[in-house]
Formats: sequence, structure tokens, C-alpha cells
Amino acid sequence: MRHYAKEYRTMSQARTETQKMLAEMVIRLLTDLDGFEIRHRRLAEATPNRLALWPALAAQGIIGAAFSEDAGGFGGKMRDLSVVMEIIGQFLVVEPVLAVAICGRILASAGYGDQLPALIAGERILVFAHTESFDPFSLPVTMAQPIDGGHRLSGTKFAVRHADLAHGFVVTATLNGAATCFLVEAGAPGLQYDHFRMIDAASAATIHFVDTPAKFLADEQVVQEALLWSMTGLAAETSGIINAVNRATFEYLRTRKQFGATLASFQALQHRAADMFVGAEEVRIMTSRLIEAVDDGAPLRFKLASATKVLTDDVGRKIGHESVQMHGGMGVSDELNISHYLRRLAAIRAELGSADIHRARFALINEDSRDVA
Amino acid sequence: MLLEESRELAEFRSEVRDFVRKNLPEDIAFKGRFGLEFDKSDFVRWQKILRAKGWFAGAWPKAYGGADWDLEKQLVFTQEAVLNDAPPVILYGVSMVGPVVFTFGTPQQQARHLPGILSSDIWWCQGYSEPNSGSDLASLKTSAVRDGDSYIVNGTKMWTTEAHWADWMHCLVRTDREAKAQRGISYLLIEMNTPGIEIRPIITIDGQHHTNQVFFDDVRVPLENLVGEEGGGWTIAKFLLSNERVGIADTGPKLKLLSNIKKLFDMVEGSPTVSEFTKLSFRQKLADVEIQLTVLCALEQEYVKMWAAGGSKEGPHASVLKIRGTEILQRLAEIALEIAGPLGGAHDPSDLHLPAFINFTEAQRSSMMGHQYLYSRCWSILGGTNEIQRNIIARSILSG
Repeated sequence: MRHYAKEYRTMSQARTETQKMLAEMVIRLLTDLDGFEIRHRRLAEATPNRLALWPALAAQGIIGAAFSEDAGGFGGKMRDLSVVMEIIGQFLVVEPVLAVAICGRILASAGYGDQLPALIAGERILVFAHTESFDPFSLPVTMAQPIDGGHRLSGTKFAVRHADLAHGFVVTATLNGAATCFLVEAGAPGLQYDHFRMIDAASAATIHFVDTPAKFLADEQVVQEALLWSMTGLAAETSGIINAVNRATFEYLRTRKQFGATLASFQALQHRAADMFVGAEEVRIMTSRLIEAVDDGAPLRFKLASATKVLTDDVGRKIGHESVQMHGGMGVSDELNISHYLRRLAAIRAELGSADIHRARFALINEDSRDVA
Repeated sequence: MLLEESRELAEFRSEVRDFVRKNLPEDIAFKGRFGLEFDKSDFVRWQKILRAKGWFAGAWPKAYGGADWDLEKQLVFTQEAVLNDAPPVILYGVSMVGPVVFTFGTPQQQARHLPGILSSDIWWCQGYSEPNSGSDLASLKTSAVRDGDSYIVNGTKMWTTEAHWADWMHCLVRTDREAKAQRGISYLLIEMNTPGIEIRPIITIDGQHHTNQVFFDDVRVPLENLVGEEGGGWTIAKFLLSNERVGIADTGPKLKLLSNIKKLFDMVEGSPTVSEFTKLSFRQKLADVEIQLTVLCALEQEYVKMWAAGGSKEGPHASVLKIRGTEILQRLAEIALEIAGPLGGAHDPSDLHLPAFINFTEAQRSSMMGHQYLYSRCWSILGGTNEIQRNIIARSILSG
């Protein structure tokens, strides 16, 4: 596994020495704690513990990778978070690393940096309750009403990932005709949950809000940036999955024999493997460009984010399916990790807008602004 | 159905539809309508109803208790029953072992095995694939060595669907290590409660237990359970393969899935908050896949008609149906998840076992589509991968 960590480094989004150390530390931790069999057994239980890794992730400062050192964190750039998300993808981690990172960044942007230490320490879990329909950038139907110096929210958020694990939610809602976001405690009045399981073994809930008390956090600009951070995190996760899937598939082709020859000797399969490599390269490099654009606040970051979601969804689908197919029967067994990667990729496609939605956004979006023309 | 068929077939189709709608038990129909998992008892109950009507072993000759249906009638029945929410007929007994036994078996074997198959009281599974013999089936290693009036069977079978429900297995074993791969294979019937057999469940990508690995440790099988000649197993396997062809495109479940996806889309279509662009893009995708499915149905009708008229089953045609059928199923399921939007990521394997007659939540409804998506990935692998099917086509069009 040590040699594997080295090999991984060359593929990673890590650039600085600190980021490379971070990557190696996360890989080491997850290799020890969360080998695929352990994860598989844990999540197959009747009531799976989806926070089993949380104390260790907190203790090692990994939750803090999303936050600046001033805030008690370990980095704070999207590239730092992306380094972690790549490995999260690789190890199929279902703990709410991305959700807490996004919510923490929203709190920091809203001037509530004092709330970050509890997040970084793993004591408080916040998740981003945003999704309502197909287009994540459309104005929320969930409405915020000013009342007695505070606000009340009414509406429904669908498939809120990790909802059952959360102490609170950062909820988007429309206020005065614009998207804004609010903090809602999980036990607040007027909340109703429909809990369910996701295709990748994570948990989620559809949450109904009826006059639920909420604290105003931030305006539209932060909401849009938060979507961008989320999409970047998912792109990095996809990139990590794709690398893992390709490595496993190429190894299988090299070793599995049928008709007296390794599968790798069949040219039809060689060409398909070559296409998988091409896709992985596209995803790795495009994701890196998106990370840079987000960290630099480049004007074209919104257009780039849509382009990257299209790419990662399309390539992820293709590689997920190809890897399962080339593994034959073992590919569709629950016992092998390959089909679990396919499942996580399917869940990612259902998050934050489909490839079609983002193709449309890409076509309409101005290059130098987040606004759709 | 967009495609026309002869008056006789159309009449038979409406007869099947009426019968299924009147006679399929409500709870089974509910499961079929929403895609819940059927239990073994559901299959048995429905197959007994069909048997009483004389429609269970429709493809068998009348002399053996069948209805002498030709391939076109078999196709219409299979399609129309499933379209009206019936469970598919389980093939292992009635479509595999039955025809093998009345074609290759002795009168004693026929008397022993055919009644249990016809009554659905004896359940069968198929022992073909092995851990190292998937696509390359002829390399199988499970051995049967003669010892007095028995064979001693050792080895392991993989992807043995419904072995945990089965009373018997029909099985390919190696009886001669010296002979050329195919010629050393024999076809054996093995009773599943014989000492030395162990079944280990294999959970598949959809989180369900359909299939198994079966281990044989010095399992004693009477010589009388050999069907055909020793070393004649490959001939029987090929006979079975050509028998399976009528169902290979499996259009019934696909037409049914399409109609369920359209119902899912109706809810999106009616929603004022969904953009016209999104609706249009779904409409185009649905039209595209419906066209593909219509083309598949046309090919299926055409090929089945050709086979029914005595045309060769050796050509590339069955492989065309297998490839397109599985690809279209996979496409349908992907579109279903896209239409489900954010809930397209919902999937809980236990939802497939929810009781009949309940109101599903939206997440549970999406979960059924999640199951379709995951399970659809199995179809391009099982029963001869799509890669093998492409090899067959290429060989038939490029060689010589």
C-alpha cells in the first residue's frame, strides 16, 4: 500500500508540499481504518454507522482542510479540499466531509467564523439543504419570511445528503426575489423528514419546512459560490473514483485469463481501456483548471464549473459502466468495490444538476460573469 | 404496440391480456405493476394458474403436456403477460430442463422429471458458469468421476441464480479430462439436498440475493441422472442455447418499464417549476429510446418469424437481439434516473420487498428505478456477455 500512495501522488490534485503531505496522511488513515471490506461490512448492517470515520477525520485535522489556518483549519483553498475529496472518492467515504466543508465556508463568508472550531473538531455537523428540482441555480421555491426580527422558512428540500447525521442545516430560500441562505437547527419546529438510503449507501432525507425559524446567513453571491464549491468538490471526488476504477480495471485486464489468454491481449478491450485512460486525463486536468479558477475567483469559473459537471458526469458514467462490464460477473457483485464506484458515480450525477442542465447553462452563461445571459 | 401483427396473433394477444387481467392474483399484479420483487411462492402460484389453463408449457409438444405453440405465439404470450403485470415464467425448469429431458432423456427420466416441472412443484437451477469459466464456458472444471453406479462430483459453480430456491440443478460437468475441451463435458441432473453441496449467496450490484456460488465436495450423483451420452453435454448446451433465443430480446419487461417511466415523466411534465428546456430534453430522450425499442420489437418479430419458418438459428441474429435488448434496457433505466432528478440517487434494496398495496413515498418510487438501473448492468454480462455476442456476429460476417 505504501507504493500505492506514491503512485497516487502523481495523479493527485496536490501541488504544494503541504498538500502532498495531506494527501499521504489521508491515504494512510483511510487505508488503515477503511479498507473496502471493513467499509462494506459496516454499511451493509441494518443500521449502518455512517460516522465511523468521523472522529479520526477530525482528530487528524482532515475536516479542517477546507478552512484557513486563521480559522483553525489546515488550508482553506479549494485545492486543499479537492486533494481530500479525490481520496474520499477513492475510498468511497460516506461521511459528510464535503457538506461540512461547504457549510463551514458559508459560515465564514457570513462572518460566523467563531462557529468553525466546532465543525473542524467534528463536534458539529452542518449540511447544505439546497436541492429542490433539476437546476441548482434556479431561484429556490422555498420562501423566507421576515418575522419578529428573524425569519421563517417554508418549502421542501429534496435528497438532502447526510440529513439524519446533521445538527443543523444551511438552507437556501428566496427572500425579496433573490436566493439567500439561512441556518436552521435540526430540531427546530416545523421540520418534517422523510429519511431514505442513497444508491451509494449514504443517507439522505427530503425535508419539509413549515414556518421554521431560521437565522439569516448570507445573500445570493455566497449561495452561488457555495454551489461552485460543491461542484468542485464533486468533480475532485469523481476524478478520484475514476483513477481508482481505471487502475483496478487495467489490473484485472492484465491478470484475468479467458480462452487461454489475458483479457489485456484482446484488442477490442485494449481500445476500450485506452478510452478510459483518455477520459480520466480529461477529468483530471479539467478538474484542476476548475479548482484554480475557483481559488482565483476567475470570472469564467461558473462557465467552467458547468463544463466540468458535464465532463465528469459523462466520463464518470462511461467509465463506471465500462469497468463493471469488463470485470464481467465480478463487476456486478456487491463483494467487489467496482460496482460501488458505479453507484457513487450515479449518485453524483443526481446531485447539483445533470449534464443536460449544465450543457444548457454553459450555452447561455456569459464568460465573465455568473449570470445567465 | 406500434407494429402490426397477423390477425391470429393479435387475437391471441387479446386473449392473453384478458386472461391475465382476470386471473392474476391482485397482490402479484401489484408487485408486477410497481416492480417489487416476486417471491418464489408468487411464481409458483402464477405458474399453477397458467398450468390449469394449459398455458404453462405452451412451447412443449402436446404429447408431453404442452400446447404446441410456435415461436411467434410464445413471443406474444411472454410479452403480453409481463405487460399486464404477471411475473415472467421462470425458465430453468420449463424452458431448459423440460425440453432437454423430452428430447434427450430416457422414458424413465421423462416420467421422473416432467410432471414436477409442469406442476411447478419441483424447482430447478442451472449450473453452468464457474469462477474461472465465464465467457469461456468450455474450460469448465467441475469434475464428475465414475465410482460404481455413481458419479462423484467436485468443484464449484458460480452465478447460479435461484439455487437457494431449487430442488434440482441441471449442470455441465467434466467427465473426461483427456478429451478436447467440449467433448469432455456431460450434462448431469443433481438433487440439491445431496450431501456435500453447499450454497453461498452472492449479493449483486442491486443489493439483492438472486444468485449463488455452489460448492460440490464429493457429491454422489447416480449414473441414471446423466442425460444423453457421456461427453454429449456440449451438444445439449448448444441445443439449450438455440432454445433460449425466442426470449432473448425480452421486450415485454422493456415495454413495461418504458410505460412506467412515461408515468414518472407525466409528473414532471405537469410541474410548473420545471423549465420547458428540461421537459423538452426528456421528451426527446424518451422518444429516442422508444424508437430504439420499436426497432428492437420489429427485429424480434422478424427473426422469430424466420426461426418459426425453420430458418437457421446459428447466425448472428440472436446476438443482435441480445446486444440491442440489453443496451436499450440500460438506456431506459438511465433516463428514468434522470427524470427522477435529485431523487435519482435514492436506492434502498429493501424497498423491493415492501408489502403489496402500500402507498410509496417518492423516494421509494425512485428506489425501484434505482434497482432497474443497477440490475440492468447485469444483463449485458449474464448469458453470454455482449463482447461474446459481438464476437459471434463478427465471426459470422467476416470469416471465410
